[in-house]
Amino acid sequence: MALQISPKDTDLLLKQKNVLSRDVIDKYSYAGQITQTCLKYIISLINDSYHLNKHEKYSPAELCLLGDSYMQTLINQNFKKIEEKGIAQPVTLDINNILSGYSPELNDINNSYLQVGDIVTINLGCHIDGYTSNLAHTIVIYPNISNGSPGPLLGESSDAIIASYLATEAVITLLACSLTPEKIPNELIENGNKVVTGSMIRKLVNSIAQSYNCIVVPTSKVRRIRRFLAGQAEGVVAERDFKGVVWSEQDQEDELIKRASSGNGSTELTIIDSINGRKKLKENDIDNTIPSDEFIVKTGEVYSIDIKMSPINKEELGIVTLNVLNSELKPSIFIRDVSISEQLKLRNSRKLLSLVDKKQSVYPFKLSYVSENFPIKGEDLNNELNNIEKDVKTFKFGVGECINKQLFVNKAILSTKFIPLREILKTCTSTGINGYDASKASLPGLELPLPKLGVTSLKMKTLMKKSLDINVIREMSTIALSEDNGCIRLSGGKEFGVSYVHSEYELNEDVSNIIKQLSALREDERFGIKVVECGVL
Amino acid sequence: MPSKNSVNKPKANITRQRKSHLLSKRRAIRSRQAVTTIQSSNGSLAIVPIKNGGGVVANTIMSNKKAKKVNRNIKYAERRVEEMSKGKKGNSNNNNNDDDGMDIDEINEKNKTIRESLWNLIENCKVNGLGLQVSKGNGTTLGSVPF
Repeated sequence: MALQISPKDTDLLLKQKNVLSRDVIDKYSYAGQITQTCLKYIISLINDSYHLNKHEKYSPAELCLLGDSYMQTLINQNFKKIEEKGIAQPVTLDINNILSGYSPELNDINNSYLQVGDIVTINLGCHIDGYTSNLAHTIVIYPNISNGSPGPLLGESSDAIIASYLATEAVITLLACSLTPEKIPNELIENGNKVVTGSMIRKLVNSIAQSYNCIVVPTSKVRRIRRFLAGQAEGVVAERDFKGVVWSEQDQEDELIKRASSGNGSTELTIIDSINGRKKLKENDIDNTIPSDEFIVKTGEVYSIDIKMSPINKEELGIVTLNVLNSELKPSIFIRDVSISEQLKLRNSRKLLSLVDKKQSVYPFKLSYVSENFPIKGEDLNNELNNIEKDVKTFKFGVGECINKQLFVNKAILSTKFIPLREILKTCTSTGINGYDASKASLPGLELPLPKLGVTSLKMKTLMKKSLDINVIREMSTIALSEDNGCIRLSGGKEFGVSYVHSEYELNEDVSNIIKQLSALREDERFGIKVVECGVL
Repeated sequence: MPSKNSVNKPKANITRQRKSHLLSKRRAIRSRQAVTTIQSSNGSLAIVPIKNGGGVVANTIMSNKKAKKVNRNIKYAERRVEEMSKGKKGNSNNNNNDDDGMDIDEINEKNKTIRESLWNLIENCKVNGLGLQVSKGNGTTLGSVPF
């Protein structure tokens, strides 16, 4: 079902409102500053309690709530005339193998403390008038300071931390090159055209991952975002005119087939594997909801770079995929599906729905956001936390009905899994390729994880019992490519450097040259590329 | 035998038995009455009764359409066996010219090739290793203690 909007409104909402004027850039920058400040605040809370012994340990639930509350307070401080502004991505603390969505409420049972050696990804975002800045940054929990100054993290996770950091920075510089195309490194240029394309981005990220024996985890993406369209409801609403590179299990399948065909020189396989990267399925597709690599980065666009990497299994071949954690951890983040309206039976659910409709926008939210005591004022912290906990308890009675009636869609907590290839090849696909897993949101066109082997997502779900947990590292940043103001990095940057890590691998020679050129461009202020970073408030 | 008014009377069974009995009676009569003509040696047509040659008697008649389908499928199966024995794989050009194109088979064939070659890849990796990057130089160190 497509929403009917008049051509005039379409022009206003999708085109004019997305032109990077001074006003729009201000809103983006403020959103960026809020995310930066909030990230700094959460990192300082973690450092104080886990590393410096200044405070007793905060649990992930407390960290999430304090972060959300701090973010909401900052949002309320400025742009008072604008009604629609708020949290675009609740603070999540994704630990080790959890990829996204872990943001426990205070009264959740699984709310255990962080451990030394944990890899924690902090993910958050906010929007002012729909102009969104999202951010994810991975930190390491070191032994606390009483044990002396810690050394670098070693091992497989550190490989992935370095690879994802380098990939994010490289992609940002490459995107910034689209403002001055003559500076694009020659090694990257395809067919002599000096433009930044999707396949170029894919090639760069893949080769960095390969150098560190890592794999780009499905759902990683470098995509254009627009006002109110920042990928917050992927899988719930299909976005028209999607522009971006998306990694999925299909790419890993292609890679394996490529290796198989180069190994035995079979011509039949090379015919099957003629597709490198993702091509547009249909020419002249107006809706263009299916992601393809055939796009050109233009000035005046805003991109979010969301790179997730995992170390590859060194024992055997396999596919890295995502698992929906339903039984172990309860999802606590919801999205209101605004296309559905229904009369509810329970008083609690009616109350919750009216509060959500009044206070929340199209972005994901947590139950604590609609509590009267949110955001926390900080006068009597314990009391305020107790009040929020009490409110959330009553909201939980109502949330079940809202989900059953599909008014709310919960954002699944995803974990990263490695499935050995031999297990995949052993399964047969008797149900055909038509089954898909509704609990796992996917972009249009990517519902089938392994199309060439004919393995459906439901089949992959059954294979989970033969899979292994692997750690995942995530770095996410948002940048605006403005013609007048240059490249503005809304989130991430020098303020939040990479954690102290050491990997035994180095960049391969060919990609190392490209990275050197790109970093030289970043460092040279006069003749290079200037990326302006949003500061901390 | 349950009584006529019993709740668990096997009504469906009884009806089916009664009807099939009736039908078999009719069929018996028909087959007794069935005749055919044969040409005798002197050229005249003789009318003779058709004898049941034993075997299975079906009480459903296959429609022409169904019969055609069955025949066509038999033809496909034969051709498939023939091609397999020749070691010939599905060729797209061949199928385009042929109006009885078998696309499904082609897909299965592709899937089979992919699976086979991936098994080979697994075997190769067991012998030659996974083709991983090797550690070189001093490695990479990034960042500093964040607190």
